[in-house]
Amino acid sequence: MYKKFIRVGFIQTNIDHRLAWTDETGISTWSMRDCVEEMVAEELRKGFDFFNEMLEKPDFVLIPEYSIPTSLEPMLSKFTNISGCIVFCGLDLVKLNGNNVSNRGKVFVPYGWPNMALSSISRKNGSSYIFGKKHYAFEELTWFNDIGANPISDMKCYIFDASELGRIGIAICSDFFDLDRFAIYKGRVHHLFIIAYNKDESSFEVLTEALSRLLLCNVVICNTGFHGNSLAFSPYKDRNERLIYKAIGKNIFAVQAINIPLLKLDEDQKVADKQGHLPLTNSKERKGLEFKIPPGYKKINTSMVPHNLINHKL
Amino acid sequence: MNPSFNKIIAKENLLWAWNKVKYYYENEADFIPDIEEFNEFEINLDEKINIICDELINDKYNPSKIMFMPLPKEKDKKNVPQYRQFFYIPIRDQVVWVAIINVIGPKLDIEMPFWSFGNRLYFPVWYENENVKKKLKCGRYRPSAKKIYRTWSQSWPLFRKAIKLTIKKMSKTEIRDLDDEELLEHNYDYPKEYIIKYIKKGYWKKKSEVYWGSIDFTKFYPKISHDLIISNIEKYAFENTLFDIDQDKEKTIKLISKMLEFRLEDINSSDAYGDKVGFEDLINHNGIPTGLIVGGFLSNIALLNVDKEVEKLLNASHEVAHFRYVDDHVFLGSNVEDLIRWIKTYIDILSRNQFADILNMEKTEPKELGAFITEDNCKNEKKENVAQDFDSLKNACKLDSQNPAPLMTLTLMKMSNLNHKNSILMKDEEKIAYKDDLIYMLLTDIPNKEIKSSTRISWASSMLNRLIPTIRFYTSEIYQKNIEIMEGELKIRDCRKNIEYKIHEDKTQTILDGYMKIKSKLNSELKSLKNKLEEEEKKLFSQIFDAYCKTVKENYSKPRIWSNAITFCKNTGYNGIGMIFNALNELYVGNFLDIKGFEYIKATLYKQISKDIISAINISESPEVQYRNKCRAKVFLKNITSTEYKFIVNDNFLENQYVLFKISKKYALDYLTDSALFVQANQINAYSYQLLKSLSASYFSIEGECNSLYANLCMAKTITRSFKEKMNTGVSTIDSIINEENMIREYELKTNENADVNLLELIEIVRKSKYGVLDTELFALNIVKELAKYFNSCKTHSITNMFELNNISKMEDLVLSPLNFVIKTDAGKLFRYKTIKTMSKFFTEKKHEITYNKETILKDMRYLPQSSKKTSAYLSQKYFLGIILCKLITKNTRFKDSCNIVANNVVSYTVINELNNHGISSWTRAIISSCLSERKFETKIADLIFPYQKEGRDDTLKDPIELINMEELILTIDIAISKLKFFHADAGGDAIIQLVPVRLEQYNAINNPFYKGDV
Repeated sequence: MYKKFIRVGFIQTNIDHRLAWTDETGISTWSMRDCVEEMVAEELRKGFDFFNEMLEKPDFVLIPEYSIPTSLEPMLSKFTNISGCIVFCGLDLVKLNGNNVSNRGKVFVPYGWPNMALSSISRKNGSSYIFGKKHYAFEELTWFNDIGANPISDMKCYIFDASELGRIGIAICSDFFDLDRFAIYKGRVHHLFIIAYNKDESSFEVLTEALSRLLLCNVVICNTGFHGNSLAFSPYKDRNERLIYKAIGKNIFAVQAINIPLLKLDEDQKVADKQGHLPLTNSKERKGLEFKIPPGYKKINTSMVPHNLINHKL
Repeated sequence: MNPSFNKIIAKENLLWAWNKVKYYYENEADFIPDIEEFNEFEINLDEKINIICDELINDKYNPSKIMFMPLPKEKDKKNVPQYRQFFYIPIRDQVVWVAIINVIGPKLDIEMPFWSFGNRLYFPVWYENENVKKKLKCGRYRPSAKKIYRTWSQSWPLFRKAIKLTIKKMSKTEIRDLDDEELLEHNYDYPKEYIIKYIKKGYWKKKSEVYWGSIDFTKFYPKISHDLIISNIEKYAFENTLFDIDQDKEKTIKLISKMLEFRLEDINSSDAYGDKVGFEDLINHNGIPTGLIVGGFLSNIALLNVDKEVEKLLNASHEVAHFRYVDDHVFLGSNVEDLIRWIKTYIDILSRNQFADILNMEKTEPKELGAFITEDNCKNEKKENVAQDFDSLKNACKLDSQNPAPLMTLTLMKMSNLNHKNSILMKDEEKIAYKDDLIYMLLTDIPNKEIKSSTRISWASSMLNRLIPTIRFYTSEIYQKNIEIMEGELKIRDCRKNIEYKIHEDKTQTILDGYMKIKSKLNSELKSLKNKLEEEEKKLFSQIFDAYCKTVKENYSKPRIWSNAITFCKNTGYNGIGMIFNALNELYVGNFLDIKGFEYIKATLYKQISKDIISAINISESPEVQYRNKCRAKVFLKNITSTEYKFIVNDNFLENQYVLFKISKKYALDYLTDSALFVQANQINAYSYQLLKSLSASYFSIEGECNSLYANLCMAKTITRSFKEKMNTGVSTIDSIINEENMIREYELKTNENADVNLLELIEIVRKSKYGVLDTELFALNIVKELAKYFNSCKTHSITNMFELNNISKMEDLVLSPLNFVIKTDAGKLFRYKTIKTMSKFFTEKKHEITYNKETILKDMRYLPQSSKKTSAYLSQKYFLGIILCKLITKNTRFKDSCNIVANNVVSYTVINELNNHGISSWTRAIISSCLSERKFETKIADLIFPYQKEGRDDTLKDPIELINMEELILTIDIAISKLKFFHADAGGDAIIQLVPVRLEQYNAINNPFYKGDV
């Protein structure tokens, strides 16, 4: 049974890339500078402290692309356990063998999630799952060229089943423009999370609304505070309800948590699947719809790994 | 041979026991083990376990002599340094003892009453959310758990809280404390044997006043009779268990009796301590030596009959509450008369059960009580010293039910609150305030009754050590200044460009000069800002270090506090090592410590420094540590290498710690001289099991200075040199041997299309294929399926009886190493399959025989599970398939160095960690989990021996699926393959995108069977 709404937290880290990935003489570097690492650590602390004080803690926390250096991963894992939230974050450039590099993200899952009580897990370490980026942006390729790195693409697409919190598709920044990915996600996800370090906010905004409508899912973008414009969009029929969150303004560290719909969205997805591309003839069902159904929507039977393969007793 | 005795002596059980002993030595013991003995045991683990097992089977096992070892203690009233009596017990005996308790312990622990809180066997406890409510959950007694006893936080605070809550229940006082409410709420969540009956509704019939009394035993351990232990085990351990065959029971009892024959190592008569052993009772078959890990539990067993009698009386009367923590007793009654009567009855029960004259009158509380309870029982007590006035006794025993002063739990509550604070989320200012609270707990004199001062101080210092690295002295000004400097730098670069291209040269030069000035100003501002923070940091650290110095001086007999002071220096980079040694010297000169105590603490310090050196090197090299903490670790290493150590350890038993320190110090120096070279050299650090096995501990030497070393600290240079000399070969690890012997051929696929490949070569091919079609889960699953089919066709053995663990000689297993299996296919053709679509045809249309290559057989223990490697062909093959599946996905033919020591038992853990960098589906993950989980095997054994412990304590809900035979494994792989195909998305033409389904619940660590740590 899905939750009626899920709560998504944003920690819009404010990393100035000109400082973060250059040395003191201004030459591009592979990994984040120490003083920026300190600043990010402090922003993460503030962010999770803020969530911890909330009466209703977020279910998910999103942190932008390129935010988390390896040195802060253990700390983030602890924050995940203290807050009990699942964290999707962008990692600092990951160095693979030789000159190969990769832009990756990670999902941190709290220890014992979803049942274990927070008091039992604050000292434990959670676990994590890594995912990658397929298409690199021009700015990134320039940077890699400067440092002599060879970017490696992740050709796979990931779909995360978060039990009662719904199914999630994920994209890192410029993969938001990867149409193949959305063709795959269509009918399979409730939420699409995008973690970004992107300055072209206006095209993101347009695309967000379009994709939300086309995929009949919530689209949430967590962009870097340096460029601003994190967004959350839900394909409500009422256009005034569609934009759920928007953080405007550059060079701002921001923390916020919002609610996005799930249960009703899932129900409407099912109705949409039943009706296919035909107009809804059943006026009762049409009346009951809260979301705008795209033509030709088909909810694909995404039989995920059943519980009994993870847990033989259930 | 009957199954139960067989279970005690099973290799699996002995290995589990070793892991417990190792954990105890490394984390809980407050004495220094013999590192030579420890290393030798660890390095030669398999052989050692085999020998013990054989000796036990053939009834030839004889426990070794135990050695008297005095540990320092505070001075007595006459100002004479004291010592604590302690016996060093050889590791192999400790292992056998733990193995015995692993099997007979749970049954006995369940027999023990709910009011006995100390030295109870460990089982995990945690909280879960169930319909908004928090529910306490308990796991089973597991032989594979690292801990032997329930943790301090699971026992002592519970003991004290239970007393406090019982007082309130007796007096029907309103429950106001959250602490009390929590205990009350979760009381019924425990299995029925642990439910505290005193706080159950209706236990106390009417409201009453509450009176208390407390007694303690004297020389408890030395007075415990061996016969009593044996008779209680006979009486209580063999009911309703599989020990139902007399012959089997006899064997078990015979073994325990033999183990109880503690023979003392001869004491040198010239030794000043020779006449102070005071353990004559051992010779008379009495007494449990301190130092025996399971000693605490044996003492509980000895009291089991007493407990049973007491329990019967308590159940009948409901007038008195009786609590025990090891030998510390608290009684509560509704009037003084009942209380005195009860204590007298208890003393009588003790006397009848071979515990006569055991009361320590000095510790009886209230003091006035002594006279009333000892009239007939304690002949030695002088009656004139005790108060005779009954009214005065009544006043002394009476408790204020809302605030029962002598039995309050305020300090414990404060500790619990401090424990639950998430310091990692605090601002630096909050952390500093938190630090003040901890220093208060470290320095303030709080009565011992509520919590032992050593426990409190050790806790506070550990908490401080955990807190300090998180204080960062960060200010956003530093970041802002860096931004300004960077922006200035960009402008300077623009100006320089303009000058280079001769654009407004003069004007630009002036602007450039201006920017240069600003930049230099900003740089100096940044520098002074950093200096200011550094000063603040230094001030704080020296304040805490002063507190440490005061604490070690006042608690000089507690080795753990000295160790924590060293770790503080490592965590902060504070240059205090020299001061710690000076403080120790002052204590010796001031006659607070005698020479033995002085030597002991010195050895403790050297042991801790050695450990912290290795830890500091790891911190400095780990990418997962923040820059600031790396700097602090490096400063610590510099401090260590630049300090002069004039104190040498002059004790035969302890001098190895000094030797180890010298080796570690040399490592620190090597590391600081050339860290890159050092790390490179140590990448071949650990050795394969086969190589290690062939080396005796004496091979570990370094430039003739030292003769022993921790196995897990073995450094490559040392071993390589020794090994080279002895074996005249340049090989290092098993992976290097494999490479040097060309066991993995360089594959030029175009020219070698028709060759067969072994599994390691196949992994290499996959690695070189670079993001092609071979780099898929689907390919890996298909290969593993073929291998599983081959194993299935061989049908070597299946498990028929889980208990026939030692019956291994009949087995003719395939030797499991990827080099021994060849895939009969045209390897080169693998590359022709450019897409998943065409590759699927490859596996469906063509038959790919996997054959066993008998000619190049290599035994590689890393592909076998530690516990069941000789138990069942299926279990081993399943584990092997799991590792191969991981290796095909990670495309890595090598193992981490730590895997090369079998005793480490970290292969599955490290392999699965590597897997974390490769996004795989939950299907594959579930198969890997099932293949590599040894817990399932253990659960099966535990279920069969102790079926009753299933009730209310099921910790297997999150265990991986069980694949009981090869057919089922093949079927599951088939399902996974078809599911993954279902998740293919057509991307046009032949291209297919793999959609990877991931169930996040699988990544919550509990579902990860390789998670290190108990729930």
